[in-house]
Amino acid sequence: MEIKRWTILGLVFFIFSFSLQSMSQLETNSQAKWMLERLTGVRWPGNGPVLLQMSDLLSKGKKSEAIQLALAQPQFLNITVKQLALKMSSREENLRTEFNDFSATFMGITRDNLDSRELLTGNYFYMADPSKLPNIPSNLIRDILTSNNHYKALDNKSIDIGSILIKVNGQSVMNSNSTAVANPDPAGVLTSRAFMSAHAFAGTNRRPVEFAIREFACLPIEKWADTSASENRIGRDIDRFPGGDHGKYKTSCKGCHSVMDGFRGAFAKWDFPSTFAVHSGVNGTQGARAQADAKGVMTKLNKNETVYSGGYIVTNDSWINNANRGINSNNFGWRGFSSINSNNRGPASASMNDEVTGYGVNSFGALIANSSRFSQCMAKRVFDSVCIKSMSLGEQIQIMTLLGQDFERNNYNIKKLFESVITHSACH
Amino acid sequence: MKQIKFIITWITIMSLSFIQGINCSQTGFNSMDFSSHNEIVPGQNINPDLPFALLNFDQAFQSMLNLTDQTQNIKTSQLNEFLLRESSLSAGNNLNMFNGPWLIATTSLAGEVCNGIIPVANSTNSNRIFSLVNFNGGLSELSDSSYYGTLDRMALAFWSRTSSNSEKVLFKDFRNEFVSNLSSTQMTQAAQTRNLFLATCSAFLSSFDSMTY
Repeated sequence: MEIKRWTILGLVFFIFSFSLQSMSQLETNSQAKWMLERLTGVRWPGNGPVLLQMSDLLSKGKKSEAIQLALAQPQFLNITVKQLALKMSSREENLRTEFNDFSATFMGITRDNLDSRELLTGNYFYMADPSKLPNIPSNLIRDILTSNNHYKALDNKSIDIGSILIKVNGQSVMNSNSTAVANPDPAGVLTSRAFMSAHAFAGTNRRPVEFAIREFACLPIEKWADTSASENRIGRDIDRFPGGDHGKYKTSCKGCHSVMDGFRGAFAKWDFPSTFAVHSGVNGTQGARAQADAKGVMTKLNKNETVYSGGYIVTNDSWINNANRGINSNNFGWRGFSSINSNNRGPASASMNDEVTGYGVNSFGALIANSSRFSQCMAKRVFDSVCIKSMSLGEQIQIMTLLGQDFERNNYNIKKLFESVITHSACH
Repeated sequence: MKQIKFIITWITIMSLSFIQGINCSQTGFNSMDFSSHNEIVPGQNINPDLPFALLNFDQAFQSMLNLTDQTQNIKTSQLNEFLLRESSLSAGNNLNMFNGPWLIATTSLAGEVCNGIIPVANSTNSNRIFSLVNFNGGLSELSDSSYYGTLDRMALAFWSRTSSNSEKVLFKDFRNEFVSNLSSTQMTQAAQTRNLFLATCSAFLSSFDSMTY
């Protein structure tokens, strides 16, 4: 009787332990599935080898290796990273955007573990290796600089884009003699055809400033408008008495334009008049020069000069940072730009915190890339991409600050950022 | 024609039934104050109660291919169907984007994807999911164990779980209804066996469990 009792007890204990182990395995399987699917953006077969391998790694406590396995799947680059970049590359900010050079460069920088600040400063771009895909149109002038033929052709579900991208050193622009020449002011994706076509087309070149900050600092214009900032750079085309009311200008218009017009000079020599970006500093006899004045400033920056003749006249590609006081004193976490800007033509500053002026898009891009806001924004974008959940403002600030700092410690490596985010407790 | 209408009707009914049974709600996806993109995309203020998100159009198609192990050999017909349907599929991951046109689009797309893996008569049946079925024979030869065994394999492959009792009942009723509309001659035709599993596979692949993550 006693033996029978102990046998039953032993059996119950065994079944209980087995159940616990099974539940634990269930949790591991579930965690592996969740991580794999969120990182790659697709569903995976429940009994497939990748999922089983990930589950096995997790059960052995090898979380980092499990995540690396997920990041090695082609869908990570071809879906998750590609979609993240596509949303940033157009004015509409949606996924139904044609694949383009902006997104390809973003994917390439991620794949190659490069410092992602080069998204705003790099003098290179990514394209498909023509030796691997000879049927894809790959002429630099015809298919990359003056059209999106190359990238549009790559947008094919049969092509593993992430595996065939190559880095091409040295960005190019078209000169007016229809020749591709070295870009005198390369700034990563800010001088990509996709970005320029979306934001430097028509207008007054204020939109590139707005969207550079919107996409890479995650701040829409109303968040950095500052009516207390200096108005010394606001252009002549901005009415100081809209509807006869100066107060409206002071309390509304001035807020956005003081910052935006301060930075706008960075794009003074750029335009996208028809199908390709032009820079007035490029040698040529017609075309690009025709759109610029004698100082090389595109005429559209100084148009409508009779609205307020006392306004600022853009005479070169200098910019000034008017987003560093009032509400913006804590918004951006500026840290200067010369440490990562190779194209700076301004005087060296005693301290990086004093670097409030620069020339050209490269230094403007470097300023944003070197800010703490850039790191937090990238963390936020990755978080939204894989975690797909909301948080309170306080939680956001706390978590993105920490993730941003982690991102910087990992040399601005985007893959590492994905790893940090997917393992963060707030993501689950 | 009658067969096709019947298949589409049943797939729609089954898919709706799965959705009703999941008690789905909205998923968390609001980053109001930190990021810029919720300013552009409407309808993103939703509660973070469920860990589900809808696959967007690109993810949905790639998922279907991945679940059926066809990522390396996408057929032209599948790509064409995707291009035809993609505007009806979701542009984002918000569960609010689930609607009627989405349902029809995913079902049609799933049909084409399934068409690529279900063996035709007199071909080699090497697919791991359908290996229990004799696609050279008619439905009169299809045993319960082959049918339910294949359902279990699809559930494991596409849903990463076993099907529930209510789902099994649904498939049983579907099979009975399907068979009741066939003549004795049609019951011996291999094409009908294929049609049955094409409809079943499409229902699995376009269901809520397959289209969320």
